[in-house]
Amino acid sequence: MRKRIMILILFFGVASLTFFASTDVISLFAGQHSFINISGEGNQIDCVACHHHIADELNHSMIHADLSCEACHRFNGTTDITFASGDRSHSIPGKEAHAAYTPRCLDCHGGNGVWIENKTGSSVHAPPARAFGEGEHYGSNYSAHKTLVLKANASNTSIGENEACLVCHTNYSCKISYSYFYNIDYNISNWNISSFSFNGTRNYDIQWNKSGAKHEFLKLSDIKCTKCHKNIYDALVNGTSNPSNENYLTHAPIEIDNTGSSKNWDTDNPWGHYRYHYIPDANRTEWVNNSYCFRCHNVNKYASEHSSENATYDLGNVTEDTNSTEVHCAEALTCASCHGSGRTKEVIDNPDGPGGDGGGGGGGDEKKGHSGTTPDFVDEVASNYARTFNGDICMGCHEAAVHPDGGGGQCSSCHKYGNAVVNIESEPSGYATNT
Amino acid sequence: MKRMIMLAIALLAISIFVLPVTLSLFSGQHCWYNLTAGGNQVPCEKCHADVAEEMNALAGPHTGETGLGRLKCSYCHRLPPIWRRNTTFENYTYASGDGTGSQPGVESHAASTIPCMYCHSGDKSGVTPTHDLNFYCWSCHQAPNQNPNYRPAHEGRYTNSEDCRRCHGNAHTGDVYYIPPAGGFSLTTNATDTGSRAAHKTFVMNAISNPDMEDANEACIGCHTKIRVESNFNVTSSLMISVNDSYNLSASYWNVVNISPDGYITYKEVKEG
Repeated sequence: MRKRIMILILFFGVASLTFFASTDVISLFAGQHSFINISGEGNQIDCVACHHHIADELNHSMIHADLSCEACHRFNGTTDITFASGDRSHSIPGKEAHAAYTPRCLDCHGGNGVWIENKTGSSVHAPPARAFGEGEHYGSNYSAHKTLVLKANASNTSIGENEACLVCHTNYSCKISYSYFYNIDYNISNWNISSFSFNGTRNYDIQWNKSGAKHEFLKLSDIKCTKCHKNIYDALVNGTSNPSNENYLTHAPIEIDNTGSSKNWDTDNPWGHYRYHYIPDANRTEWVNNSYCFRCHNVNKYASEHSSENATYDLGNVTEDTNSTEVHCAEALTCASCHGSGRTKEVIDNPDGPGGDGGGGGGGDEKKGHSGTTPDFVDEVASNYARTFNGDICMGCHEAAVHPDGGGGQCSSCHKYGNAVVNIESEPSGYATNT
Repeated sequence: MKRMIMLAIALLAISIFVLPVTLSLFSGQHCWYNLTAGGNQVPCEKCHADVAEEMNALAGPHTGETGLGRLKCSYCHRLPPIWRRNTTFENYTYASGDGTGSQPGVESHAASTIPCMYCHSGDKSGVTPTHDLNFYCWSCHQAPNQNPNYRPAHEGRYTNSEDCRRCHGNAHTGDVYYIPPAGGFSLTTNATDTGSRAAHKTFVMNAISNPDMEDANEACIGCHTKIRVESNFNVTSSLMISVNDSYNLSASYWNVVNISPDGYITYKEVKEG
């Protein structure tokens, strides 16, 4: 005890002497007079010192990982921003920005793109964001995501259109709440539609959970269409179960399947090729992917990436029928874009139809279906009905589940005379009745 | 033992008797600094050795990168009147000890903590034309018509070229230059300084409203010095997008009606000093 008291007395004595003898004032913010020399070329203030997290994201990024902070955030190639620069004698005071700015992605990816220097001193090209980088109108109206870009530009979460860019091209997560019609009803009589109505509202929510990192840019192949359009994926893969026939699968005519119970449908199409839209049941989960989406929604891209199919399906000419060269990633189109009158894949006689060479029986014009109708049935649908209904009008007949199983019934009623009463639900259920 | 005690008492008594001075508690307190000469004769470093040490450790802005020595404490902490400045920053009157012309301080006595922007908010930058670093500055700049405000430069605070050169000269290049404005935040007097695209503008604006330091100093020193900085970031990580199919019988389009932040990630960044 006595020893402890002595130590305490000694401690206080030393502390008192220290305070007494000390003439220094202790600064509140140590280091504030250690000024960083910025007189050299380039930027000497270490962005990463305060932004490790972003640097780490960028290091894991599939794109832009070779770029310095300054390459994007002190870019003035198209912006005319004057940044502050510290070369002592020739220093430049900033005008629009001091150390850095928050860039619009289109600052580099607009117009024809730009050349910028990467970390190793090489000049690399920032490719143009096709369509969206073309002036203030973001290119053609055929781009499926143009309204997303327009709204992004009008919103305040990020600068410019960046929300739209980031949500697809980075690990920025998203939730999307869709609202659209629940079903449509229509009658067909002699290939004329009557009594068309749209009914109800379907609300469909998706959530694409990613890491949330806006500086982790994705490979283009990792941008999954089906993540944001899960209702379409479900419509193509799951639909509505139908224990007595094909499942109700909608959005693309994937109906014909040689595993069907009648066993008399092969897998080729009227042009004699393997069906373009067809995916075998066992492969749907995997094969409904970006590539499948691009078959219709970006024919140009699909053709350029699949030379064999390009030749088989005459996709060069199909591309001419579409506007796929004028879109960013996906085209908003209708069946008529490829299958309307005068198009490369305009509707032709179906050799497998009743009365056709396929031996379906029935004879006469039943094999023709609506090929050669005047005016063209497909064009009439496209002209008279909103784009959003077009696919479902077609799917009302071209969905496998609505075809009577086993080939019984009156073929000519539909195939020759074009009579049907149809109800079909929107994606993802696709449930339909066709009587 | 008793003899020893008696001897000690006797010695103590004699010592006190013969000792002609009183022991002061604080030695040196009567050694007054002579303040009558121009400038500052009170050594700031006596109390602020840690600051002096920082200033001497690096050759950067204010600390001798120009080859002309580091700035004196008084350049910043006893601010001279500067014509080319954003006038929202006040001039202070400090106490000055010149014997016959002494002035009492008004807003400040010996020193003040100052906004970085006091000196860095002008509208001129770069190398000044027609100047030679070795010229005697005061010979011209004492004349009112040699200065933009028709007053002696810095109201005559500095007549020694060494003082002028430490702020305005570069021994490596031989240049004389204007104090560089910190443009890009719309805080300088230059009309083209809009700061309209500045990424750190909210940082600077919040620093201005923060009372810990003068003006935007927290932001300035956060980047431009080796001070330790801890930042708590709260950034959006997810978007909520509402899309309505807008349609009638014959026309439709997908209408993106709302885009808003939906999720955040928080993290701490530490810039070590």
